[in-house]
Amino acid sequence: MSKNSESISKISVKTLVNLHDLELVFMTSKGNSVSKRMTEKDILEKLSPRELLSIIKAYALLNSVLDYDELFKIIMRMVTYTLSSERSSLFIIDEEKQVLKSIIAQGKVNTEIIVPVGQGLAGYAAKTGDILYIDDCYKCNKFDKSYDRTTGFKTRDMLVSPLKNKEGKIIGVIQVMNKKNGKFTEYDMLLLKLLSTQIAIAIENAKLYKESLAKQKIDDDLQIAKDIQKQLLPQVFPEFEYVDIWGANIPAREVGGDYFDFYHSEKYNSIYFAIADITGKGISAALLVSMLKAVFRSEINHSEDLEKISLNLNNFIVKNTPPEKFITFFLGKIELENQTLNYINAGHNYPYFIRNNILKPLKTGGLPFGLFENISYQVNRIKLQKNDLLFMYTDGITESQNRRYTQFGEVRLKKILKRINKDKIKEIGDLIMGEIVKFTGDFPQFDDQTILLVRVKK
Amino acid sequence: MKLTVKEKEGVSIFKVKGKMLIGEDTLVFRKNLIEVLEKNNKILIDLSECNYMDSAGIGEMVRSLMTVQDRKGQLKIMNLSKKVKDLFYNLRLISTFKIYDDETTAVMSFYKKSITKAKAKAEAGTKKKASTKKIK
Repeated sequence: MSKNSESISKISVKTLVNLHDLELVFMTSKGNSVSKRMTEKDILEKLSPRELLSIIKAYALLNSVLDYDELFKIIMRMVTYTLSSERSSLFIIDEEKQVLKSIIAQGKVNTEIIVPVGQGLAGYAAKTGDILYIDDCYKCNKFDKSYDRTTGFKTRDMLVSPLKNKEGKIIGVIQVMNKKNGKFTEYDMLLLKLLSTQIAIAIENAKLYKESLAKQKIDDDLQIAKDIQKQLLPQVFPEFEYVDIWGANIPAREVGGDYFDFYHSEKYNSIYFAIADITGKGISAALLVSMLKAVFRSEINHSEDLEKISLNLNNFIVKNTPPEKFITFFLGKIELENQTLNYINAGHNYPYFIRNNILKPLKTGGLPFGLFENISYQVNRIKLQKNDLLFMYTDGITESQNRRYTQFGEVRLKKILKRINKDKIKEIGDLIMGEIVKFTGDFPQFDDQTILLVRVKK
Repeated sequence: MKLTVKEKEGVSIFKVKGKMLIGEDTLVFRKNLIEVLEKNNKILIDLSECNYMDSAGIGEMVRSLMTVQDRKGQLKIMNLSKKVKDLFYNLRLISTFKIYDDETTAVMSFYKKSITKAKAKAEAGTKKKASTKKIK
């Protein structure tokens, strides 16, 4: 190439037909193109042992680094050294913005360079996928001199190679500047082509590794969130004198948007309990669960009037969530003094009230919490008797599916509830959850599942 | 979910096809609604081909209703499938929305009020005139 330097003026473009055959295209100052083809045999015969060794060394080095930033530095240094050049720079394609970003400009000054795909020499290589050789950059109209001006570097000749991944997609561009003691040769071009393949693989590997690390971090955070949320829902079920309470929650993901709670208020001589379902699943819903618990506990400590509590809860949720988020909420209060159940229902599934094996859905209620301000909810009352059972659940129970996409449904649920003959509340709960598992089999769970039971002991 | 928007008699009709679920579906709906609201605040949502909505979808309907009302517009829904109707019913939202069973009635309903208003105004006008005459 150096021999032809006088006749090559602007840009010398070559196309690599495949990895083995190299076709070089030189553009002359008179506009004539000259092409030269090299076969694998030519290449192997003419590569010196030193060049072969440097390729093997470079491959080993590229395979040894997984850290993304570290890898870039190593690529620059390795390419600069292997091609006996003064400097090299690496560009990575930002697919979304269709620009090339230079991660590091080697040398004294590190400036970030952003080039649109298609523009400049790097942009041209990224667009066409060709390896370019520019004999004299200052004579080439595609060369942007401004970078030299900012860095103080003087580019003479340059090799530009696209980086293609395994699928043949261009992921970046590498530029090598100023061959020491002369000009770049056809073999430098070939060497860079061989290195580019390995560089692209190394970059992709490092990227995957970086992503898997990020994913691991998210997984760790999720585990922490899961532990925190577990603490928000009751884990132990103390024995009260008048009633038994038991609940279970199985989130569809690590964390969920179902909530249940109970609280014995000595101040008001009452037991409060609640079950709720929050719009959505996962983290966003889980964040609302923690807010709901805080505001619920605070409200029941300040008032015994369910109408007032529900009004305040709804207004708080309206004000503190986006307009499309809502919470279905069933709130009960058992007054121990007169053994009466008081409840309100804010858009939640009807709970079942079971007395002497007769099921009665509690079909009253209003809009879910969180949609409209200043809604008042009607408080209903039931005088309790021994063995009365209240069964509350979220729609993840009735909408759980089996392999045939059949839903568990209310009919099956009612059948189970009707033939309950167990005494211990935990056994009743386990029986119901067991039936769900039996029904769904190994079909994945899509929604959070929660049940809450209250049984009158005397 | 597939969303199409057409205009009929000055009413923008949003047709939801398939399932409307949390995530992209609700965001696509929101984005389109905001764009249409720049020009028109008469919104009709056609749910005849929407066979399922999760709670986020329902929430988006409520959010849309509030957005439209904030801009002094009207939002109505038509042709709910049984499944979706049950959802609205269970959440006691059925009376929050104005729901219609066919397109013509639904589209007409956007103008009914203004027609009756205009009529009432006209009637009030004549009464006023009559009373003025009396005084004379």
